[in-house]
Amino acid sequence: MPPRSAKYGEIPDEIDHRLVKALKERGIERLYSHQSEALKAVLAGENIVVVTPTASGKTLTYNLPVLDSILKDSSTRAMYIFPTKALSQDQVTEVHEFINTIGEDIKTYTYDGDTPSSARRIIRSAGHIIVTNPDMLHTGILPHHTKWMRLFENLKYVVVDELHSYRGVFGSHFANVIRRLKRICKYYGSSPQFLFASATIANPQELAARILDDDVSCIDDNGAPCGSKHFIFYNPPVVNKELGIRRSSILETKSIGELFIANKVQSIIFARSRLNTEILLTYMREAAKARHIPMDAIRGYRGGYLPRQRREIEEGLRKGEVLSVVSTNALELGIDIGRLDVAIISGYPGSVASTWQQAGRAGRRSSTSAAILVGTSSPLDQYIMANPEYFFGSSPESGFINPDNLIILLSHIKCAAFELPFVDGEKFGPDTFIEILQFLEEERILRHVGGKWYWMCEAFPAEQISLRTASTDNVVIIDTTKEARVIGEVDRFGAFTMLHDEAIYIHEGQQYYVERFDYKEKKAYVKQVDVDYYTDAELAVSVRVMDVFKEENQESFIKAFGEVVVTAVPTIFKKIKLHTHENVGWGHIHLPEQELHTTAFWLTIPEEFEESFSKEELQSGLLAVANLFVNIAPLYLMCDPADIKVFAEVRSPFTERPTIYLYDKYPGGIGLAEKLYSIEELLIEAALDLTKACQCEAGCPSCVGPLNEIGQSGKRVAIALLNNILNREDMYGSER
Amino acid sequence: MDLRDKLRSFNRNYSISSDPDNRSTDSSSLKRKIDIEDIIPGSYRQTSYGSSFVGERWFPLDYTCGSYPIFTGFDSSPNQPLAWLAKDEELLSMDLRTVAFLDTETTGLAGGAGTYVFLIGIGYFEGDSFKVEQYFLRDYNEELAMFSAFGELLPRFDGIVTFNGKTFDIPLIETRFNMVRRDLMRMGIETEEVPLRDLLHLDLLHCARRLWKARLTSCSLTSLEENILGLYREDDVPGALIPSLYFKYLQDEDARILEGVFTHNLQDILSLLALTGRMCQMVQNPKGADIGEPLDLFSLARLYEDIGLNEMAIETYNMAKDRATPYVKLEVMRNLSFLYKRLGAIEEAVAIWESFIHDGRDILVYPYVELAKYYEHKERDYGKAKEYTEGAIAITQRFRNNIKGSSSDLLDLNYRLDRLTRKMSLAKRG
Repeated sequence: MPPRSAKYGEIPDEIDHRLVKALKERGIERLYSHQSEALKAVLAGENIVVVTPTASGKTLTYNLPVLDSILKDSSTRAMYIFPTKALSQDQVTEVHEFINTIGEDIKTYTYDGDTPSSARRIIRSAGHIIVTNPDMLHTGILPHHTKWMRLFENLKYVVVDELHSYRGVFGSHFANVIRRLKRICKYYGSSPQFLFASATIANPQELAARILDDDVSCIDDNGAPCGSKHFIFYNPPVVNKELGIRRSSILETKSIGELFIANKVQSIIFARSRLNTEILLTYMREAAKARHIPMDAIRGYRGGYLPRQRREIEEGLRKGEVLSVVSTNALELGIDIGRLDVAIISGYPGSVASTWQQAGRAGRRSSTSAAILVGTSSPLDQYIMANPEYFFGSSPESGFINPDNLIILLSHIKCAAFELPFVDGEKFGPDTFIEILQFLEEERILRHVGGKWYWMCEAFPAEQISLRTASTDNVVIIDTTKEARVIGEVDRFGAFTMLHDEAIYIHEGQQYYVERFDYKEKKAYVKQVDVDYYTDAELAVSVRVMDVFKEENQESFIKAFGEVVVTAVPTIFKKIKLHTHENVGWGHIHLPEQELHTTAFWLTIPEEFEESFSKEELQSGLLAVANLFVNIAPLYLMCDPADIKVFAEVRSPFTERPTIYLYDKYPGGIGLAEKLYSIEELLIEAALDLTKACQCEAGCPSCVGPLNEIGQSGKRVAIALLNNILNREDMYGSER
Repeated sequence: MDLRDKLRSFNRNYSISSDPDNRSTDSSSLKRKIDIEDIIPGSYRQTSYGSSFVGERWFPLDYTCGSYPIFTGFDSSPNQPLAWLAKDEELLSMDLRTVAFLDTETTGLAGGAGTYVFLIGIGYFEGDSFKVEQYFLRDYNEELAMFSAFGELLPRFDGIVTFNGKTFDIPLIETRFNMVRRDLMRMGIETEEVPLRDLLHLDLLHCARRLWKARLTSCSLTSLEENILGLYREDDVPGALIPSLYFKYLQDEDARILEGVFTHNLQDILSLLALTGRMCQMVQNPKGADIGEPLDLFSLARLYEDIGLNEMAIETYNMAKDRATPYVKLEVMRNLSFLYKRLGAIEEAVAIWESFIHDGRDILVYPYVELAKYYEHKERDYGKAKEYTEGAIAITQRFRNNIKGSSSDLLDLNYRLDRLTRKMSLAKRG
């Protein structure tokens, strides 16, 4: 990527002179063009979303208008919302430094779960800038709005940074929190402007407008300079062709990282898990030791480190004292660590946006830098390695939300009714709103009297609703080996196959035996064990189509989108010996049937095709295609792979044909299936590309799935099937 | 599947619905509506925003509440002991004859903008009786009327007495008042801010904790009624049920279900009054108040000491000492000895410390340490001081595994021992 020189814009005349002076004292004589553009748009009263890479001076785009209006009128209030506590701490420090340069009494406070209750009163009445997170806004501020009168009466700006993290379930919840915030502001007579900032995603403007339900101007022409940069994709060599196994991405990352340490080039290494972070850190330190480089120059960084320790590492990076840092995606978000020479990404982070964020950590203003992506054996990574043009081409990846998901909407209507009774004729979300109010009245949660809908419940609704988890009822895993401690959580659906009685549950490489799964209490009691087998539960799944919203008959397939009920009953589990994979026992699982109402996209295969294969071949082919779809779909949906599920049937009772269903794992659906319906061709092409590019012979975990799962004919039938759907002639066999 | 069915199935599957009891009854249209005035004596107050029901009851001043009449202990300058007890000098100017005893019933305990106050009970002196008014929210849309009726009564009071009102009742009433005011503002009517926050406020919970925390495991109003006033409620409505009873009343339009709630609130207010009187009595004149519990006397003595009434403190410590169990006695004596020391009555203090050692109760370190200090610095008898220091070291070593921080204590003691040994040899040489 060629170097880019800076583009500048002027500081508008109406900006307070104290602010201009402070900028100059901090060495800023001119603004970058995007900063100036943003400032002008805000002064013109627009909502904005600023989309520029890491370290391009994004925070100034909102700090300037906010500080300017506080300087001009000290009753002005602003609210900053960051997705996590760690990020808000970092930003508060930055704003504080700026305010100190200005030398005026502008009060910035963090208000989150850690704020001591003694400090809360003063913060509520005297803080000019309140820095918080969505969860605190949801449970701590909005339901107690009467204590925040001063803020809401004078709220002029709401800053939402890291917009790209508000997608999927979290984003859908967040959009409703914003609906509630706007409603409270209106009650107190204010109508704040919203200033969004985002890392690169395909649809920042759309996402911001969807969250805000209002017009938003997009500013994405980056004026910050950048030196030239190399982006290298590195695919480790194949070591077992038959099974499609490549050399470990960790070991490859280690060798590449060593190169830079040896040459004293400052680097950051991103690992995909905490465990991998620690492993790589150990390797890097060994490498440093062999070269007589002090251990302190090589650091690790992840959640779980103490805040003080983290600040120290961040500073070390900025000052150049830290030569290499191994991190989880914790350093991907907007924490200020300056700019480094090299970023090594060990394993595709799961989305284009994350990859760019991580790669953006490397990039000097003037000198050359490099980002290196090291592929793993997973299908997603292999697809990216084989199709770099996908990555560099126009990004199809977008942030999706569905604020009108029925369950999410219902939850927030409750919260909103708690905050203020709804008035007849008021709107909140979709047109079906009034029906939801009526439903809540029937359920005796609301009372409709005198033209208003009052909260008639003892409960404090916001406390029962988590913005982060997909399902409200996760199963808690309790290790009782020594003293009981919680080691993790699994969603209810997953728990049925992973945490049933007698299952072997694997957590951070340790085996646990499930002694008891208390379905009602949502707790699984486990004990550490060391056994030579694992368990594999069989789930009898069925999909019932309740409603077809859209359907289209393409020449070679039928695609549809609608509402389904997925029913799952765990039946038996098998004990499978490690390494040899022989079946060494089995048992029944006694758990009730699970139902999930959600939205699905499904694809039905035509009759002619059916006839050219045996039923078994068709079965493995469908399974193979299903695996491909579910592995690739997150690429295009920018969602967590766990958000989407797949189900394939040789003869679906509804379509009476071989059918593959892809459904949202969240009750009510969050818009993933709907999106798939509109990009199905991309998905099918990508599935075919991945399969063909894979060097394995008949299938492997990097493409259609392991052989023992899909059978010998899986890959062959899958290619034929995908070709057929796309109306292509080149069958797998004919190429040979 | 239509929207209603979907919502129902979500509610079933994902347990986000409300209390099922709340839903179970179906009010039949045949049922007769039973209004609050059919159940509770009271009247309707007319306000600019409609009428509001207020329950009204009068009690003679000799009405008893448990073992005490509701009106006792107000004899002479009753405000002083209460100001001491609440550690709030402003209360010195509060006249209990012109305050409101206040307690609310609400639709939930969590607070927040969706928690409504549906009953405000207020008790005050009127002529020769104690009057209790209960401002009642017949339905949500009467909030404006209820709060304006309540607001009209407020100016006649100089202060309020509550139980945990600083944390709970008053912030909630303020929240509701503010929201009502804003509704008025939207109708174009400007109103005064509610004077609640400016009123003097005596929160009995904090006072009760100072007096009885040492003795009682709980300082809840129920516990105080039983243990202090000797009052045992019969057929009382448990506080936790109150919100759902109110919701049921709203649904069924049958006020009978609320009778117990009104009684509960009324009793709370009477207990506030009786408790205030009892507290005044105790603090004012511990001798005359017939306090049988040595722990209560001990708490009182500490209160006196805390506010600088040293003579009262010494007298009350001594009263406590005479009645206390051996263990409590140790505590009382310890406090007393340090009070003596602080006041410069070192002989009295020394007498207490020596009595511990002569009693052979060799489990306390501090008398040895104090005596060592006394003999080293006051008497300059280094030999005796050394003896006591050695005594302290012996006990500390014996209990070193049980006492936190004993190793640092031991360090200090050994340091003292060294110094004394040095001083002794210096004295010999000199």
